[in-house]
Amino acid sequence: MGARVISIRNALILFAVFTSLGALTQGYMVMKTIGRGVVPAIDLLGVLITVSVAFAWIMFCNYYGLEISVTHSIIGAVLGYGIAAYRLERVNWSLMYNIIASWIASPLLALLMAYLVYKLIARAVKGYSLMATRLMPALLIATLCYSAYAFGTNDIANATDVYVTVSQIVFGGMPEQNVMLILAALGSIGVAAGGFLLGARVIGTVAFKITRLDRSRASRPSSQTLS
Amino acid sequence: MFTTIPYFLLGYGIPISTSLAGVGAVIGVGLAMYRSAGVNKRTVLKLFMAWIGTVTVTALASYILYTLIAPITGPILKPKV
Repeated sequence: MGARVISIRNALILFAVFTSLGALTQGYMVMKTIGRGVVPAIDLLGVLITVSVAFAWIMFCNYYGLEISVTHSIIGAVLGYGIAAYRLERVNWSLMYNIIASWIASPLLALLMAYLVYKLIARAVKGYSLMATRLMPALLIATLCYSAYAFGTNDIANATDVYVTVSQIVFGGMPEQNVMLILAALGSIGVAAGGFLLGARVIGTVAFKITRLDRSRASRPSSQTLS
Repeated sequence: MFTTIPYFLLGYGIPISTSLAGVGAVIGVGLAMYRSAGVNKRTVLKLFMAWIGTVTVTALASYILYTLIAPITGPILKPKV
């Protein structure tokens, strides 16, 4: 990509494989939180409302170029639905507080870890530039796989969790675990399809933005466009 | 990390925003490379406002919609809980 480690096509294949793995193995952990945690259950009217509210807000913000989080949109919508449909006291507030705390903690933790890892790597590769140039591609591919896996466990679950209750009823009372597996599989297929149809364009934007970030460090060969 | 650890502690995986965690990581690298000059404080403030605004707007909108529509249609496919 930006750094010419692997082709976009191979990156997308790796991404699709590891995202599906994450969604299928651990997706249920997050799905349960919204479909069966913050509110006791979500009926079909709730699904239609939460999905259309989240969709409308995301489209509105995209149109005006505002950077927002799909996770926040969906959980906000589910919370509003929960208060309206189940009254205040039936919403699982202690879980909700944990979620909000994690929204503050996760960017800060990511910041701290990225800072430390950068310092560590910068120190480790000092004077070993040959080794670093050989190791970096492998490290980059490993991080791609890892972040795709994490994306599967978290984001695919976020996108499909509101359907848990309704799908369970539609499938004739199928066990919750199986319903979540089907939703995870559908979500993975959707994300992979989106990645292959439109991903290259988005990757182009991000790679370009990142090279802009790096422009002052001219030693990097990343200013070439996509490979 | 936020899926697995809380699941074992609380029984629920926490749905975080991977895009904001990514922003956090980019800021971390920015700090490591250029110290505080590497971070655009206005952008960080804008992102924080967007996060508060998003939850408020979506919660209000779906609360209002459900309160308006539910009396007409009644709950649809609502399980007994």
